[in-house]
Amino acid sequence: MKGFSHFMSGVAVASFGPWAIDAALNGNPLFFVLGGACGILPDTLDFKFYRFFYEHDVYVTPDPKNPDPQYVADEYARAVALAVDEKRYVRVKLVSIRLGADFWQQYSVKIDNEKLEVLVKFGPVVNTGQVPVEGTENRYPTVARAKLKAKVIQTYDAGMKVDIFDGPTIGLKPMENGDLDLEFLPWHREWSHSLTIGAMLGALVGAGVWLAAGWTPAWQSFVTIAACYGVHVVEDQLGHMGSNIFYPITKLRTPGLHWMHSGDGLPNFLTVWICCLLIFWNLYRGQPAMTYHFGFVHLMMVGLVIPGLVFGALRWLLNRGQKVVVAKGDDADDEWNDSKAAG
Amino acid sequence: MTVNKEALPGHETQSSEMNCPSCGRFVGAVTKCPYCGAKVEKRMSLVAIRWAAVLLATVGLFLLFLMAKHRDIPVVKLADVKPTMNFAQIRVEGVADSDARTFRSGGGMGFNFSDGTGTIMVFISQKQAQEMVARNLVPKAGDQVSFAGGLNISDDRSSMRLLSVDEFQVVRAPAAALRLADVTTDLKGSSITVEGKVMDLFPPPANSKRPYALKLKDDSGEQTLNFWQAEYDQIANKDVLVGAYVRARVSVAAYQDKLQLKLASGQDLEILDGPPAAAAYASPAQKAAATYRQQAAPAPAPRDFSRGRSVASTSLSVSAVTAAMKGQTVRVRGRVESVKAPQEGTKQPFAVILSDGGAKLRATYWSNADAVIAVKPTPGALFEMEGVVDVYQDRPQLQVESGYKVKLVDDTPASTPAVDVSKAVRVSSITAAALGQTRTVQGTLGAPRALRGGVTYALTDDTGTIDLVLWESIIPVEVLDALEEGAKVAATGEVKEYEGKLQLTAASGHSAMVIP
Amino acid sequence: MSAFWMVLLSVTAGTVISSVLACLPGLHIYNVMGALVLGILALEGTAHAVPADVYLPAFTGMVVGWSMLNTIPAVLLGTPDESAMFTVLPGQKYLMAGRGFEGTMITAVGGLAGAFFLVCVMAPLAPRYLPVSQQVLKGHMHWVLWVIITFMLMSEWPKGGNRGPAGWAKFYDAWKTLLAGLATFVLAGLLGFILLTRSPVNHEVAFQNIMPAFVGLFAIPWCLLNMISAAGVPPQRIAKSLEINGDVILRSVWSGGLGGGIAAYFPVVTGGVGGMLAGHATAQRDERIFIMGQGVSKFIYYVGAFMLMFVPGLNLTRGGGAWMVKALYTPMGVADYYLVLGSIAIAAGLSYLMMEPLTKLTLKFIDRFNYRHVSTFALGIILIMVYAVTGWVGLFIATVATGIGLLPVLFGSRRLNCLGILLLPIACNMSGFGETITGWLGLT
Repeated sequence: MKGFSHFMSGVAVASFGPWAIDAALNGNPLFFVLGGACGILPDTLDFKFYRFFYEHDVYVTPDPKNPDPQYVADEYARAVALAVDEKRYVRVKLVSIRLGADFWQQYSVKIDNEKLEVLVKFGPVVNTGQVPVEGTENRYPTVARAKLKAKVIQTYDAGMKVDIFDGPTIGLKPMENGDLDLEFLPWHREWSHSLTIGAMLGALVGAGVWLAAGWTPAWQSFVTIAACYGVHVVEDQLGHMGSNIFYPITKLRTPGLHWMHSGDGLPNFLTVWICCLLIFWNLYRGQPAMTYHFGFVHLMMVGLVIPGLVFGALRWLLNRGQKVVVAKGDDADDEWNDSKAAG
Repeated sequence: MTVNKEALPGHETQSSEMNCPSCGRFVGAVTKCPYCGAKVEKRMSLVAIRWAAVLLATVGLFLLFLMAKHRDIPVVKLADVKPTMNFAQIRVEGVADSDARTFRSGGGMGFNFSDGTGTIMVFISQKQAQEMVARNLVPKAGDQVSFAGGLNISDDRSSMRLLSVDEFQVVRAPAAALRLADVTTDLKGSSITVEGKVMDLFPPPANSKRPYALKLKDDSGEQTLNFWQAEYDQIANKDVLVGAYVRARVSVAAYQDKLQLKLASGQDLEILDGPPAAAAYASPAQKAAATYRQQAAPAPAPRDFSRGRSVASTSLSVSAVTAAMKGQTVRVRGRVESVKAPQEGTKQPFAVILSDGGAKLRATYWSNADAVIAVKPTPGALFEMEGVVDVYQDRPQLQVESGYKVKLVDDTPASTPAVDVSKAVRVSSITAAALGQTRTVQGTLGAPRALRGGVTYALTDDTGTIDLVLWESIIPVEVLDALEEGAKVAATGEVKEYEGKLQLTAASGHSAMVIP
Repeated sequence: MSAFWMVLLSVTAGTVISSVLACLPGLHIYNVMGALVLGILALEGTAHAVPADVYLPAFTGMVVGWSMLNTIPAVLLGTPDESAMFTVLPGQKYLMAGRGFEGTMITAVGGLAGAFFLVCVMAPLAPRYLPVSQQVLKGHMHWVLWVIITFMLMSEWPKGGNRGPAGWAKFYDAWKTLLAGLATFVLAGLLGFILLTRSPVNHEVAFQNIMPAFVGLFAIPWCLLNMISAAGVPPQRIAKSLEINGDVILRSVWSGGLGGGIAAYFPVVTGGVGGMLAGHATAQRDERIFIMGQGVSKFIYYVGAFMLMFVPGLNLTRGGGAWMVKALYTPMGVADYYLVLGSIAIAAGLSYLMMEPLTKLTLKFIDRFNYRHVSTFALGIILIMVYAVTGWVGLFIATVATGIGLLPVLFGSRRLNCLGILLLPIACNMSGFGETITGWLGLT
């Protein structure tokens, strides 16, 4: 899911703690801030901290002055050979090519398992908005090829296009049949996306709070942090990529439920909106003197069901006879590109 | 979509300093090439712009800070305030027109301020209010005050928000010392000092927003002091309040035409070591009388530390008391249905029947307990009694052991209707000719609409609809709580006009009630 | 003249004037409205006093016209107000691709869709549901601001650290932009504390005391950069079709409505933040939806906030326009509500019709005049305006704010961080510890 959906989920989970609402009514926003921050924290840890410390075995660094697709293909093939020969996990960094203040050389990497080849094509020069610069599309028409020592299996359709800001990391993991399993962004959803880590973080902060302010705020902080961190892991599990749910007890990602892609518009919006309604409901319950009274079902009908039905009906009316194509993405690809695009 | 650019982007369009002089690759703003490690000299302009921005942002901000810090906030007369001064920080000097009162929601405070040229409402945040209470700066009617605040100007109601407690200056207005009998509604709005013995303290009923009531008695009479939980919490040694002699600075107000003495801060109530000295009284005659009374007064009774402790103000309804509770000590609240005093010469207890809806409970206590009951139970009044549950003929009854555990909660008989329905008129009969007059109507309430400090319901009868406005400040909470959309109610109030429409503004007190 | 014609003429005049003014880069309609408020106040009590039936529809038209047409300079001249900064990202892509006309028109369709949403959906529901939500949320506004601040700071992408081996050097390289963003937020916040606690601006014109800072943070840096870099704008072409359908409009309304609604309803949260939240909340991959969503968001932020003041039973003042009108007039029930809703509908239709000719006119203008000169001209207008209203002190504040506003541009962080000027001090004040901080600073 997108960062904002996780963030709002964290805030919504925090709002279920009566102590958070009591504190807020007394001018203390900390529990809600903690909820939102912990809701997005697993991704923050990955994207803003861990990836800069993640060691790679092979750095594919094309020269901006002399972009050579063959170099990229050869390096990729070398990384595959390394994984096959040494029977170990090999991490490859595809470094982006910056040409100017606002210009990047785009290139793509494709695996052809039929021919056991990697294909590298240098595309157009793009600006930071990922818009191709006219006249640069065919500067490098050559498709470079290099032979691979093993098949590289992609379990999901992660885009392997490198352009703006940072380039992606891929992990090549030898499998028992001799093929290599390709992991896109192996540093993502590794140790950070774990319920255990969330609980440990909660316990750590809770211990500090205990020393500073006593037992009651300590357990309240623990519950808020663990629950809000945990809801991120649970939500990510609804997608394809999954998470390493009980790290350090478990070592590998558990595949997701495949219910959605993390960048899908409707699930993200629904998550945010339902979170808003839940927060509203919890605030209403915690409000000492209300002139108005309503029930949960009433709120959901007015806030979700009726608008949803009206929206659905309008959409049906407006799109009759038209074929509406909604772009589908991939979990890791969505998170990687959307984060960059968000600035 | 493509970018139309003739020259190939990158090195060609970039100024030379963006590229490494050694290897020629783009390096951007860095001074060391990440490719070959060569030192990259930058053109002065880019470096200069960066430094200029940083300098402007930091040094400029610091200078602005110094300028603001050493700038005196201008003293402005309220008559000179103009709409273009909205959000201005100004200083005002004048008099508090009213005691600062704590808002029921949010915990902030507000008071009316006047500088002789105009009046304005001043808002104080919760934190500031706490700070002012701690420093005894809470303004009371008549106090000279000077402070800085932010203006919030609107067409109908302007206000100020206190900027800083540190800059709030208050010079207390002298408060006349008066005997309780001399306090009348004529003194409404003024601050006075009263002294006497605390006869009893009535905490507010559970889950209500009613104030505390403290019965104070001096040799001239008895009065009730009202204050909220916040003020009660501020009273030092409040555990020994009942039975103690106290001196209190209070403001005189009238509520439903009844005199009220309001304690604005717990710090305004001082527990004395003994009966008050007569020297405090205002006039020579009062002084002489007080001296006489003091000489004649018996020695102060020893304080009873077992009474008047602040206990949890939760009480059971009459129906909640069952035979299964035998032996338990409970506090029960109910309307007094009857009081039966023991016949002379017998050794029977007093028997009071408490009722609540259809449920009834017999409460008994002995004559020695009755002797110390401050306000004796009378039929119709709401009382709270604490005692041990006993069972007689399979029915529970309450054995009250101490007269101090018998307390009046509300002396308005429940049987007296708050609104005289017989006077109700049709909504359609209320016309502009009735403006300013009091009318009673009955009908069904529509959806509520929140107002700042109140609520409006559309009240509909067979003949029409009129807006019923209820202000929280004058309508008891239990009345407001009882009203809801769809309820059939009767209400009395003044006919007013707002936005060209007639409306009925409910009179203060129990001026609206649900009718069957 | 009957009230109907008076209202119609006023709203038309307000819309036309603001639509034309909206095309001038750097000029905010609130500054113009501020000057008009001064004029109306001066005439009060004289024989030429302006009645509310004239200035209310006119102000409504001005807010509507500006929220719709300000997209033109935002996209075509790259001089965004704070709320337009998100429109500019994809909008400028369109401009650089020669499709600036298309970009502005898609945003305008978004504005029109926002008007339908506001008048046909929000307006009937608002009197019934907004007082309820206000009662629930009134004690919680402070933490909503803190939560928005947290998200704003946590969601910025580190733009460095793309090269080299793993380690602290790479981490520092990446975090340089984030630290610059944090520094911008804190410095802007400190500026806000000064201006909101002890503003050096003359108290007689205090209603504009934050204006020089906003101009310095957002408008002046943009003009300066345009003057320095003088980027060329490719020839623009006029598209015959916008390639949008009902699905695109609906999805834009849902994303923009949420972001704009949050910005309009919650205090201090501006259109830029609303746009950011709209973009994040709905995860739209379609660029047209993004651009149109920003149009919806901007319209609902400006016009919705203005409308809130007139919702019967709500009594909520949000946005600069409403605050200025509040000094003149207190809304009175449903009659005023209908007046404003009607004015919004008329003004939205009118300003949409003006969008196409004014966009084409601006494109011709861009063709004829040097981009650098346009920016210089805009800067001149801005400085004159600041001096006229707030004097030399205002210029000094604008200069300091320009320094802060340049930091994100020169160090590669988000310009949204400049909003710390309002978010930080007001969130602190609402949580009750603003005075503690101003006490530390020695301001109180």
